[in-house]
Amino acid sequence: MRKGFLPRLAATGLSSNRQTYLPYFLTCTGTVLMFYNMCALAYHTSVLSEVSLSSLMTIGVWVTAIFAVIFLFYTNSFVIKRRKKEFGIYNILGLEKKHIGITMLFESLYVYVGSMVLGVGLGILFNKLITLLLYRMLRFDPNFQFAISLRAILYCAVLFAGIALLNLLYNLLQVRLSNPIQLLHGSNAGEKEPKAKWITALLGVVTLGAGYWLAITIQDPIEVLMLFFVAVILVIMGTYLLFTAGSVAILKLLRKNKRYYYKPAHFTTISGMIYRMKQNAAGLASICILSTAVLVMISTTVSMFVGSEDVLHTRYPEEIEVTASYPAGTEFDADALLENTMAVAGQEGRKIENLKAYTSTTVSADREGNAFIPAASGSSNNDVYLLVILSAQDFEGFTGKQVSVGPGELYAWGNVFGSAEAADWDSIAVLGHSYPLAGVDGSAPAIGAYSAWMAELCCLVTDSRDAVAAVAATAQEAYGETYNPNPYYSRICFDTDGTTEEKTAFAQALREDQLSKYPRDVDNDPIVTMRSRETTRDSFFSLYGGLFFLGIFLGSLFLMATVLIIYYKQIVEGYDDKERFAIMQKVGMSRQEVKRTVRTQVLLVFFIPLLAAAVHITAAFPMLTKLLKLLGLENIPLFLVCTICTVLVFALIYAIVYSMTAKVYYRIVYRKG
Amino acid sequence: MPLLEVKNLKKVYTTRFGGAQVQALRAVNFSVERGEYVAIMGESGSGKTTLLNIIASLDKPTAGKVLLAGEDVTSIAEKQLSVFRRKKLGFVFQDFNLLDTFCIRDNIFLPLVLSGEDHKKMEEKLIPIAKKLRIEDILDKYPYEVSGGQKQRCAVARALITGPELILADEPTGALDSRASDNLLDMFSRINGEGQTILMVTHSVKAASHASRVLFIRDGEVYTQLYRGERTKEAFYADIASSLTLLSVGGEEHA
Ligand SMILES: Nc1ncnc2c1ncn2[C@@H]1O[C@H](COP(=O)(O)OP(=O)(O)O)[C@@H](O)[C@H]1O
Ligand SMILES: [Mg+2]
Repeated sequence: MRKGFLPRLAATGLSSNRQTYLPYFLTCTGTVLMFYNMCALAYHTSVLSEVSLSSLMTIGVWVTAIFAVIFLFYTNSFVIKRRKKEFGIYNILGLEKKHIGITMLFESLYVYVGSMVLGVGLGILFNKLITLLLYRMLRFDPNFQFAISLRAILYCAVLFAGIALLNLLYNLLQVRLSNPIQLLHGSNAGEKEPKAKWITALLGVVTLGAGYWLAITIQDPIEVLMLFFVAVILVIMGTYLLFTAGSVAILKLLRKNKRYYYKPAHFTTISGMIYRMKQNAAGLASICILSTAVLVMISTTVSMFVGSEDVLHTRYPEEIEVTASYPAGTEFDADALLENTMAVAGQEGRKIENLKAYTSTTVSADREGNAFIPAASGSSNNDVYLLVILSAQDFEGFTGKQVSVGPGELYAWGNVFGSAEAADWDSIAVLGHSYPLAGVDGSAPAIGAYSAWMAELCCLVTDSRDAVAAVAATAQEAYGETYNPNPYYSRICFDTDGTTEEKTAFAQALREDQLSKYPRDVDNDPIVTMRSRETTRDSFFSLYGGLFFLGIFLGSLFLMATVLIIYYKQIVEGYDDKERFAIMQKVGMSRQEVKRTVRTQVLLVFFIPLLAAAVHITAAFPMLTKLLKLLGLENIPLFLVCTICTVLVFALIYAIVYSMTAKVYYRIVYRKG
Repeated sequence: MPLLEVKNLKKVYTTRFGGAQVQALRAVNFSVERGEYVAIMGESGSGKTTLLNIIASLDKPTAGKVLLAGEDVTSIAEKQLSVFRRKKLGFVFQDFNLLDTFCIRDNIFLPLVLSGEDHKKMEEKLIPIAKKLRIEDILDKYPYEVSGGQKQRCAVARALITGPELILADEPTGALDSRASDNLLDMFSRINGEGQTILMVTHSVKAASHASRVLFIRDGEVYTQLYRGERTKEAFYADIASSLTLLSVGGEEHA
């Protein structure tokens, strides 16, 4: 073999298969570009680490990497299928398999180097653009230092070399496993008609149904958080099962209906789809899942971004919150803290409104009937109660409501007291002590600071602060070393008047005052902390802006993947179908009929997954609203509008790709007569 | 009036980049009467497939006319072409051209489905044809599950089911072994015996000897023709063979 022959053969192979290789090459380039950007953002953009988004971005890097592997593997398998025939001819003409292997090695090398150079080059330009956008979104100074990330380039080089190697091995295996005759017929080997698998189809219905059921029926936000991924996995499984088994089953039912089947418009489409369903199904299911992922990602992040002011107000119901956590028996005086805060407000000329101030202690417990017992360590989180214990005086300071509680009695507030089980309780036991109930409220306690906790809340009101201290002492005994070292919690919150600048100035003055007056505890944590809505706003918007950006970025990545998968599928099928359509035209299928058949077929392939994705997102909607609620977004109409808009925009992009694909497909299969 | 008249047919292929021109047919003239069984012979590249494709309206001639029952095939509008092809013509190809996506039955039904025929009528039409071609037992199988001979008989069934005026066959035995070939040729003879007109392109002297007339094509023209008349198949075979020898010798004289 002459030196240089195989590399040249490889180059010829690439250029003579432009129609399949160019899209593949562009796909590789696009993925490199995306991955470079993801890495550069995660590891090189200091602004992101400032707002603690870089860990989120690291997840993004992983997602993109996994995605790149799956996606490029999938596209490659299309490409190699198209080229088997060519390799078969080389083989028959006397090129050994070893030489074919070397040729393939050169081809992968060309594609790898080409897509790396182009992808990283474009990636750097693109990175500059998105960094600008990101800074703008995060409201940072745009006079940033832009740098090329060597680390990102290294990661790209390694990842894509790995992918190229994986694909090369797969391709070599394909060539190795087949003899020349099989290679020659590689792209149109008579595939057996798939069997209708009723049990699998049924399993698909069950898993999908279970996923939907979870998504729709779960009310409790904590369960939503825990079961969200279970639901996602169930739905993904169900989708794959239904697409693979269900589709064949449905198509076969349609074929059994002779009146329906033997119509020009249905005849070729149904048989063609049954024939190719095995490979079709996985692709369609992937498209459906990817589309759903895009829709969920974009609609949630967009609505969080748009609704971030709402979220800010949910998270910070009051403008300023001063809290202190401290152990029993210290000199810390909650009343003095309140007076001091008022004094600073007076110096700054701010008027205080909607003041709430209270001190409480919290104890976690399990429940057996009407007895709250020490939570066994390592027990499942499910039934843990968080008991917030405070005096009647503090209860009034907190809620503005008065309750009458006698010595040794408790007033109880929590969901559990509204349950049927609790109807005949006239006393409850807390860590071994029994208390008669002075009264109950069966609603969910709205206790601002605790609302994000993942345990069921119960608010217990005693007659005096001494009684609260007694419960705390009991808890100390019961839990020993594991007891919270700072069981007392004082909270002062309020709004103020004034402009944004004045509010910010006051918040700063208050913070400095507290820093100078209050010591740190044994762990060197400040005893007194404060949060101000105004001073949090910037970092808050950074976080949501970053999330938004990430959502859009990953969303468009997935969208690109979806679009390319569909395009590829159709092109490959177009080549497969070329022969078939040629035969049908010889037998007397007209141009119009070819066009109509193509349109039906492509339409089905396109819109079945989109339809399924729309159903998925509808089912997921209740669960997503609850997740968003956990994140502080309670504006459901806003989320609904965002979701609908996302779906519409997606459908529009989808329709454009559809019409383009149908045209290309038609051009492939239609032979001029 | 003959069923098929081919008048002064000419076909010049121009390669895409405008370069060389290939004259596939120069001036082809012949006609086929109703009920005839005509074989067309000629060496590879002599333009047989080109001729058949033009008669089948799959390709347009550079000049000349093809009249089927008096109607000019070459001037039918694109829109009516496929209907014309479906109703008047039946095709049998060397490589069967069955669709892997359909079972044999559906393959045979394909032209009828395209014509929008009622499903019950299709079944009625299929029964006698399937019996005649001995494919009743494999109707529910798929093309990749049956032998080449069976495939070709299915293709014949597909050509016959529309009740065409003319069956066009391009080397129908080309991909078959000798037993399957004999079998298929017997079928053709039988179908022709029932009055079906057949025009068959072939390489094989044996195949041609089944026909009632053989046309020889050379240099893009009908060079000569032989009628079988009252002769036996064997005698006709010998005649065809000697004509072919003459033809190739003549070819060398020309050169
Ligand atoms: N589509 C085409 N474009 C250019 N030349 C063609 C085309 N089809 C056939 N030819 C040429 O026309 C001649 C006749 O071909 P064909 O009819 O296939 O011959 P046969 O079927 O007798 O072997 C050959 O020289 C062939 O190369
Ligand atoms: Mg030919």
